[in-house]
Amino acid sequence: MILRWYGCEYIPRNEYADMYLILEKLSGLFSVRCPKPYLFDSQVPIVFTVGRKKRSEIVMSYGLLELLPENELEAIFAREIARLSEGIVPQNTFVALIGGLIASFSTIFQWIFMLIGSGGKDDSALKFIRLFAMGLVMIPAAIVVYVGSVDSTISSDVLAAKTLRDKEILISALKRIYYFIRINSFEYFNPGHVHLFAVNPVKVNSFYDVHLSLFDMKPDFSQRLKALEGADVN
Amino acid sequence: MFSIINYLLTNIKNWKQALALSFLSYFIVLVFIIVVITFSLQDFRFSIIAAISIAYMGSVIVMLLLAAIIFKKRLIER
Repeated sequence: MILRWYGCEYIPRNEYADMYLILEKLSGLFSVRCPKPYLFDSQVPIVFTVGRKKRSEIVMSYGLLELLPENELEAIFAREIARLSEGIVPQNTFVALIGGLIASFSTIFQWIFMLIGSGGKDDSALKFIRLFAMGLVMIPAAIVVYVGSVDSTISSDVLAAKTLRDKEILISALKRIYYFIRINSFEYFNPGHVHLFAVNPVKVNSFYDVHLSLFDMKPDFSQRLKALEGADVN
Repeated sequence: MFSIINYLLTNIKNWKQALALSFLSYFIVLVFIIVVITFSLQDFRFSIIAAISIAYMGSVIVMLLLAAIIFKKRLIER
């Protein structure tokens, strides 16, 4: 269902053979089943892993493939596979399903009002309606995400750096994604999925998005960098 | 009045503004519930409306307090 939410397409092996080699190599290093790669259409560099105990999928945006060079892409994939090895992906996927469903009601509410002729997407009345709907659903969604999900951001970062024996590439990749999102991203992502993403793309772009500030989860990016810089990879 | 609104928007943290707006949204739903009950009973029965209001707003306040405790611990304070 999460794959359908993002309109993901399965990546065939013949088109992205290098990516498959990287994923298989990393899966071998972490001793996990190789996740199936999926792509979705977005210019924002996003990557996350979903799945159940016996099956997992790594989802990435076209923006990620365009932004990162191959070595940094490998480091980010290592981070996602580190998450798989920690065994928390099934729980986080379930929480994303529930939290995402609750949070999506605000979008559904907005579409209903658009369909009954309440104006275009940028109409102020529609924005207020969306603000009202977000006010109802975002707190329960945030409670589900905070209480239900397992936060392994820093541990995954450090485990990936230690396994690759190189922290600089991961730091560089994370910084590249983080600053791109901060400066260039104005796209809306379902806040119920925020705990899945490698770098949180959910941010407050205007007053009408103020409820998205409830999903600005710790750790702060500077804490992640500090933990990585302090990690002993030798 | 605009200076007060400007002060509230710029000096209160985003997540606190979000909680306040959520409280307002839940209050609007309560008003809607009261209107529907009054029309269906064709009379304003204070005891029923009061009981529903207290139960509803009580649970909303409990949820918001729980949320505030969680957010204070887990949110990045910008």
